[in-house]
Amino acid sequence: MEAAKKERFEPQSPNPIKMVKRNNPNRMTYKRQKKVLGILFSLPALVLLFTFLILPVILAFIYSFMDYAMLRPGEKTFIGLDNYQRLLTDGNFLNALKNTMYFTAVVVPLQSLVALGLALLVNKKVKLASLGRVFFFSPVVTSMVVVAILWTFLYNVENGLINSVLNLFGIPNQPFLLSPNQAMNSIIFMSIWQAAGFQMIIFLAGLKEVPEELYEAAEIDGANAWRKFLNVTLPALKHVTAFVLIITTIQAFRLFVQPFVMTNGGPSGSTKTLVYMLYEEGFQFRDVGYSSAISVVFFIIVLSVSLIMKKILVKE
Amino acid sequence: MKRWGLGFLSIVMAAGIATGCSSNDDVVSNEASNNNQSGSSGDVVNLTVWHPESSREMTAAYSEIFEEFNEMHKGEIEVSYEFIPRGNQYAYEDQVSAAASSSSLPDLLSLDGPNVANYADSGIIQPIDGLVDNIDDFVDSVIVQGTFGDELYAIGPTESTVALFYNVEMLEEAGITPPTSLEDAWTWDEFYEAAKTLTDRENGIYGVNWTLDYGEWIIYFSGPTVWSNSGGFIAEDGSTTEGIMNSPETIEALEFLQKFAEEGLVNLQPTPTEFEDGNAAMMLMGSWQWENLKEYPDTEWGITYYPRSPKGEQVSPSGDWTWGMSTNTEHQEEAALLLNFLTNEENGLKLALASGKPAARKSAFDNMTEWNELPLRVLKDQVIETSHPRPRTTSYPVLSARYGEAVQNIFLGADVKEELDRVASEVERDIERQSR
Repeated sequence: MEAAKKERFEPQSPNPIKMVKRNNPNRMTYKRQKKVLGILFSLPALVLLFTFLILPVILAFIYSFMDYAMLRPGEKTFIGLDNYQRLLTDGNFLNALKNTMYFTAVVVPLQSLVALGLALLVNKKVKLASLGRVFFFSPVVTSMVVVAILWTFLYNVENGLINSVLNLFGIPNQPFLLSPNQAMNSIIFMSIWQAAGFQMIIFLAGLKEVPEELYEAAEIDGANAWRKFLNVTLPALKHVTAFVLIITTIQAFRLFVQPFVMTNGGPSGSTKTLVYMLYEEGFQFRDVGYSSAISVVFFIIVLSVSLIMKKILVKE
Repeated sequence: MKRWGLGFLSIVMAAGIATGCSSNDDVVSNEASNNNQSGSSGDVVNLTVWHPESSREMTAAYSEIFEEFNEMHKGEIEVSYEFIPRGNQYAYEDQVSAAASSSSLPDLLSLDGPNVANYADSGIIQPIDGLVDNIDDFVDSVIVQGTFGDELYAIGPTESTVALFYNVEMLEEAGITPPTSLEDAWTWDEFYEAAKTLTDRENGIYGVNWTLDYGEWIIYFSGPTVWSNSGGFIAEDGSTTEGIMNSPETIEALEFLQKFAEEGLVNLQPTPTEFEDGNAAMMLMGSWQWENLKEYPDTEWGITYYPRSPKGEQVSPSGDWTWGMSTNTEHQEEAALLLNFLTNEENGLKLALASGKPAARKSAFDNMTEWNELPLRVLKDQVIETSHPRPRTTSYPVLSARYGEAVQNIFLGADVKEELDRVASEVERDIERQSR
């Protein structure tokens, strides 16, 4: 290797590119050269993207029309729309769809609001603000599995910290994760606590971009804090808000770790989500065909919801 | 300036490619020289082995055994072993599934007893009939669990069972004397009464503890209650589950267990060491619990038999992790050698002692003198006399997972029949799918 490098740097040895330019009448134009180089540089990324992102999507689409047991990859057979037909009559699927929709519908607006509130809170130019930023952001960088296990302890019906605090106010022990009516809401609460810090950072970046002059102008016009927020801050954050809402929606749809760690999808299936079901059918029950059909439907749902949201939120 | 930069980049890239090539050459030449070496001293066969991660003692014991094997067959066979995290769910099984779908399974793999049927039927493990030394020495339940169709597919060094562990002092205080022989094993009513007496909610003490994790454990610990009551999960030939999973006997058994939850005799979200900390008087747990209890020498511990239904015989669960040979192996002979080494009397004994589990070979028991006396005799009695394997069916993954969910719902107050009906219909659908 050393030898190869030295050879190249020897003064006599001509620069290969210059040589091409000098001797070859069909030499590339600078523009063309840049294009080729660009493709060359992006090739590794493109290859990875194709292998690990595009190819699996294509395969999932193909497998969704097959009877494919994971342990018998040699015995795949095409069964047409059977898997999709089964989906329509599968109570588990409809339940998972309902739970996923509920989670998304509650988490997206709530989490975005909380994140905006946090961002406004830590945007103040006071000393504690940066401490607040660290405080609110730290759950985001913690692994979701760790957070989920910790919250399982917090939610414990007999010995959990939250119930101990509630007891102080005379509220009896709540079966947070053991009741079909409370389990999903408990997961929603901890999910917002965990993830809001991320959206907060995005909102914060948006807030920093709002020109100070606008506030000054508003002040001269006699606007109070609330009017300033309503008529200056919010309109300036329009694009950031759209981005946050769409990103949060996509994340919310993918809910898996929390129910997997905390409730096993129970009790009575009340926290089973689409991604959970996809994992269960595909890996645990080794029915790759059916699992692929779920993933295709999931893909279509997430794609159309985000497209609709984009259409509504980003007008120009 | 820009052109110069471009030229510099291309040089760097060219140098990079040159580096890549030269290091590749190195690898190739290394391999070649390796081949030359091994060519002169006979080919070294590489065996790969997977086992789920378990206790420190087990990992150490297995590592020792593999190293010893490598030492014995130096220059001929080289075992590389891997301990894969299992979690309290199905992480290890997921890994096996993924490897099976890409034909990259190890030569020998550890598998949980009930997976034998599914793996054998899918053709990812192969029959080992005739390859196992001195097979009559194994306790029956090990052979039954490892058999699918008419052929033996898996064999393990240890067995396992579930019994009722208890806090001696707490039971004495309550004036309760647990049975010491199999014939006198508690009936459901006696067990229930004991749990009720021992429960002291004001001081946060539960009569009994049973772990409620989400994996295989639920069917493992609750199975004997069902079998003892002449209930079941699936037909012997695996053809149907309707009328068995939701038979009156199975329902009755689970209603009995549900009573404990309803009346607060068991904690549904216990801390991991509730029993060890003296916050539960009894514990339905696997035989391995005895090893864990040794870390709490200040308390005196006892073991008694798994309670039986008033209508039936005493039954205990069986089926431990066991070893199978994958169909991906190209070294059947060497793999069989290792399999026999893992399950021979000496190593069976070593692993049994390390895990606190009963041995799978009767001859190994002869050297486990502690197991001839109480309390460990209880475990030995159960393994030899009353053990019952879990269902052997290719639909086991669905059965185990759905049954586990149902039992959890039942403990939280759901209707037993409704829950079991749903399990039955889901398993039935899977049986149908598999036979397609």
